[in-house]
Amino acid sequence: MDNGTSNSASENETITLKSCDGIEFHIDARIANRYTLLNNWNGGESACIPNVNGKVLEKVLEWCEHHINDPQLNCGDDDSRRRNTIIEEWDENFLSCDQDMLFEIILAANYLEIKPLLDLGCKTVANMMKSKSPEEIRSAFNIDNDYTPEEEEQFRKENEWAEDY
Amino acid sequence: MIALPNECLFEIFTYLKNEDLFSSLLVSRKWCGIVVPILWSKLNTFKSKKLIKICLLSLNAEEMKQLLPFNIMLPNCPKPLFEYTSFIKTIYFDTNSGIIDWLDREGNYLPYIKGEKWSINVAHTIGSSLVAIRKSL
Repeated sequence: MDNGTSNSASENETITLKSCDGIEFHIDARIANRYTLLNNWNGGESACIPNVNGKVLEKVLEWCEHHINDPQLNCGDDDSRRRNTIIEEWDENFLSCDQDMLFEIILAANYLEIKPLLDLGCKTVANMMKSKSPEEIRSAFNIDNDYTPEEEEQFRKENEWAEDY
Repeated sequence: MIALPNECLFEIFTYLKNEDLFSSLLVSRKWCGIVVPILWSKLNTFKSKKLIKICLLSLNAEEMKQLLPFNIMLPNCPKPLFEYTSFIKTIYFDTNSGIIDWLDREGNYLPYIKGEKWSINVAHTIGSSLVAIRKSL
């Protein structure tokens, strides 16, 4: 939809994005308009994305292209977005990559302010934690246990009510 | 593993239910610091005697004074590692049943010996201490 600003774009317009490692992508300008991702884009024909490499940017743009016709969410929809952890099949397949890539996508979505993709990545990681013990979570995400045994025990006792509610 | 910034971890944890938050906070110190405020702000019942016990341990000297007339023995445990009660957003009406349950099982004062009126009085006093914690924030 034409919002009358210099950033409005029609279907045929394309812009060029350049990743931090110099890889160029030609994308539908509506994608750039839709997300503030392109803060650096001033309506010109190209933009640089300094913090995202080509491999990750390619994935992020693939997602944006697939979802180009999704209804836009209002900023105030935080709670409704959060209500469920259901993920559509296409998105689930899209994010069934290795863990490093998944985390890179989350980082990029956060950096580029692509809220729906950030939510999706976070939901995916949350689903990976469900019904796991602390030890299983540590090994799934390769995290070191930095608690002393006494500390861990005390935190367990202080919060164990949460298991029942 | 690529380290996610705290703001992303926070987002992730907001999707988890209590039992998964409990597992997550035991993963590492960093995670604990992010998860505890989420878990305690989601509190939607006070029926648990385990929960009441932690709330009682969080009372300061002034608040404990209110309990003196009832000769209540507070649990002999170390002070909690967090000021958990500062994260609570709402006090629910079921607080009394949790307190009475705690008195019954851990407080060594069987409410049915002291009588129903006594236990309701104690429950009210403890309950108002918990509410006072909220007001003072």
